[in-house]
Amino acid sequence: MLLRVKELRTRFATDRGEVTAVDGVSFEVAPGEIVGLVGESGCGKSVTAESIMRLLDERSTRYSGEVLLDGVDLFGLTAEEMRQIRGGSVAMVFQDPMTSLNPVYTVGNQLEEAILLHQEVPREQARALAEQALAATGIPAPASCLRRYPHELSGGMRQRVMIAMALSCRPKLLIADEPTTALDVTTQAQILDLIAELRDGSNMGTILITHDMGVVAEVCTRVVVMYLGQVIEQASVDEIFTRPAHPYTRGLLASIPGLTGDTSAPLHVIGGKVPSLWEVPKGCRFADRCPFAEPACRDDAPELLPVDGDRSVRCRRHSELPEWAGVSHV
Amino acid sequence: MTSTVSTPETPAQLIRQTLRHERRNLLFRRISGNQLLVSGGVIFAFMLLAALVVPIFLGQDPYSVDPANRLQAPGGVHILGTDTFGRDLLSRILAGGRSSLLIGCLVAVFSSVLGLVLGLYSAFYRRTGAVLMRIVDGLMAFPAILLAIAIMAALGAKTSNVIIALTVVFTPHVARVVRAAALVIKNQTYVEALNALGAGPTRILWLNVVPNLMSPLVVQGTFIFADSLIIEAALSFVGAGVPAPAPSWGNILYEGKTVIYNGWWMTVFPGLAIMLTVLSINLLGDGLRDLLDPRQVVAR
Amino acid sequence: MSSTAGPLLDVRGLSKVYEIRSTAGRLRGQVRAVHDVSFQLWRGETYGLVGESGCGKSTTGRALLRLVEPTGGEALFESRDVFTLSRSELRGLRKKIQMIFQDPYSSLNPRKRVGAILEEAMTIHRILDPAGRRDRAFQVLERVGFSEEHYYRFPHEFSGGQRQRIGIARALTVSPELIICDEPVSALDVSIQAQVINMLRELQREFGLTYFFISHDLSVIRHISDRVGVMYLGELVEEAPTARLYAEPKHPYTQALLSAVPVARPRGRRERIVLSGEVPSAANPPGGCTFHTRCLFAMPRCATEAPARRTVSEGHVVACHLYEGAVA
Repeated sequence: MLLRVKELRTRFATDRGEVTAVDGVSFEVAPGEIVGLVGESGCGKSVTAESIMRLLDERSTRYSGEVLLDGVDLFGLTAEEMRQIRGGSVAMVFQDPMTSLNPVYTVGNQLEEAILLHQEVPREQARALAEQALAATGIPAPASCLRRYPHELSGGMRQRVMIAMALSCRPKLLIADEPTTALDVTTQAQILDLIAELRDGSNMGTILITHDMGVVAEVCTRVVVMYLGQVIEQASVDEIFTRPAHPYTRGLLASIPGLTGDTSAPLHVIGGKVPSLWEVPKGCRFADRCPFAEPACRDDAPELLPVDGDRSVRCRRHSELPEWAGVSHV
Repeated sequence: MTSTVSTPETPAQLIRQTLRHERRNLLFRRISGNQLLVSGGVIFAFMLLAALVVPIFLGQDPYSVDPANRLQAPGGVHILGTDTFGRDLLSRILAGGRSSLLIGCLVAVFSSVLGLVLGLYSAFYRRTGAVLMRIVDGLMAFPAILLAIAIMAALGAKTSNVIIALTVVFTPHVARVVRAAALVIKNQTYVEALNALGAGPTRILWLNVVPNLMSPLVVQGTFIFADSLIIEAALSFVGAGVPAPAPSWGNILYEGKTVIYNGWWMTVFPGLAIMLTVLSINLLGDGLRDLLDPRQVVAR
Repeated sequence: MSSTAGPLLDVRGLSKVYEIRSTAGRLRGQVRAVHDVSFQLWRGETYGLVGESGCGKSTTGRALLRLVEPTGGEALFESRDVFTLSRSELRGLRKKIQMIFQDPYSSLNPRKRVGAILEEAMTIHRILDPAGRRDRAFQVLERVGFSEEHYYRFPHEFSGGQRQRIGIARALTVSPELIICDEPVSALDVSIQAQVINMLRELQREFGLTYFFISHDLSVIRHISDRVGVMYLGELVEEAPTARLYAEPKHPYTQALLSAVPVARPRGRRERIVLSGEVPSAANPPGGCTFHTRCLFAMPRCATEAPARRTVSEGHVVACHLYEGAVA
């Protein structure tokens, strides 16, 4: 198993007290698979990724739990060792390609820098590697692209450059945080194709963070759904869409306006709103908004329990829910 | 904290009153928790009170000349000593304080108002703005003190001219800051929304943009207050400021220049007064900046 | 739902060209943001304008209210050309045509209470007296799902979706006939998006509103529009009733666009049409048909001759040489 996250808890010290953004998250990523980390804003998916990479300010952040990369606990490493890991064994691609690249250096310069940070090679070789990495992402004229500045490239090309940078040192694990959210639909399609190719062509494991279930359906092999800092469901991509077990997952799927289906009825809405992290409800965190909640749901917080095969759900009533009839129903 | 308004009748009034109380409490906590604001505020309040109230109890006249008692060391009747003309130093410092604080306050207010208008219109009207900003650049090219001296030389030595000179010196700074802030606001969607609603420029600028400019303006105003104290003192120190015999911290220093060694109190005490007041105002300004800005934009 | 009295808004040949000038004022280039766009809005319908970033859809929306001054064309509203109205006449227009914006975080003045924001809209148009405005503000707030206390709150006390609803309330206070919605749900989470879309539909039915809905999200457009227009690089390339557009897209760009949308069903991916290359720059648009550089079906003719709009079936218009045989 490439990555094992066990009971990850990330707490921030704020002037209003300590807040737990990620509360006991566990999941695994095997080599060659793409795990989708899904949820709406504020659910903690980005913080989870940043915790794995230890990118957060460690003076005001408290981590607990384990993050095992090939058996090595990343939380046990020194800062120097962690720096070796970042960009080397674990690489990250961020959401906004406009601001992820330094505007005053050429693309080639930045790619070479990324390569030289982790590999002891002469400059010319780094340049060649950079060109190869760019070519692998499908950029039309890699050599001339290297000489360009970020502002001369389009959003799609910038994101390809980011992916090339991430892949240049052949990481074991790639974390992509909403890599296509800021892109146009047609460009998004190209980038998703690229990610799918990468999945098929190597042993690299990927965590793809997104709020878009369509993206999940396109490229992910397994899905982890988060709500208010917790994992509430885990399943293969087929199962998530054909037999979603948690009421939140169902509500989410049902409120997506699709390209097919009846448009005359109003869209499904999940009532209420996400509680604030400072007022985490006792009991099940979703109970106040759940159409299936019972009094017991509000008293006892449910555990994340395995269900037939590889799936797990955090819901006491999941086996009592009606059959899932497709996207337009709950 | 009960208000003197009659008890609320409708639920809406009750809500409004509750919200008001909530906000007042929150504000109180934020102010008392802000160390900069509190320390600056306390010191400044002390200086202000001293300047206004103490003279009444002291009973000394800052203008009465007493050559027999000139240059007496601090102690006894004259707590801080006497100056080269035998006048009581403490009461001169306090009187000077009143004058300097008044000048500082008026300069801050006038330059803020003028700078607001200049900065606002140059942000929203590009061509006028280009011209105005070149004038501003020109004025800012002069070191503040030299510019002030030049203006005083042209206008003549009177306290009101000091105020005019300093206002001219500081208005460009305010204009720059206001223009920068206004440019950001101009790009906010709510300004476009007001346009789309059919609002005219006057309503947009004065009823909507200006309230959002208040924080940088007030903060800038406190710093101008502090700076003008210093420059006024410098002006008086070179003899181009508040004319004798009216006291000001600067001209006490001016008179004390020649007797620094045998009348050190004429330099040290006004200097201390300037330092304390300017420090307190700067602290106040920093504290205000924290109070007024980032928190306002906290989204739930 | 068409009215026998003619369209509410009839836009013909709308164009917007931005000039790029050096600091000395010399003309260095032109950006063709919107080129010769024509469409009609009928009372009570929702017209969805869809396209990717840079296609000119936002500029089109803003031009209708003259928040951006068009450089060509006309827009007839109540048989008067919006583009030639004087400033004071324009104010009257801005009561009948309202707009809601994309960014919920900057579309409300942070220094004003919600109630004041709503009342200001009415004050500008001299609707009612102060007491009446306050009542109406309460009324409209309630209609969009808020309670009395929210009148006294500041924008920063609300979430994105709530702020968007306040923006809708603001538009409603002046009882407009047409509302231009510029990507109103793009910045919201999926479940909040659904709430706002449902609300917009309800309000439309209740108040007989007409919507001009701009978005890049094809799924959202499908759920709210009666008719859809597709824009590419400043031009309207296809227009059809919603169901028809999604079932039988005719223009190669529309086809590619629809096939690119990720479908929320595993292995629901159909054969995707992958467009080659990137979107050309609007400062230097290709000659002939603007899409020919990336079109799978491009013919020699496409590079030299701009296609005319051809009607392929009722209400379905395409600008493409492939549909030569159809009536112009």
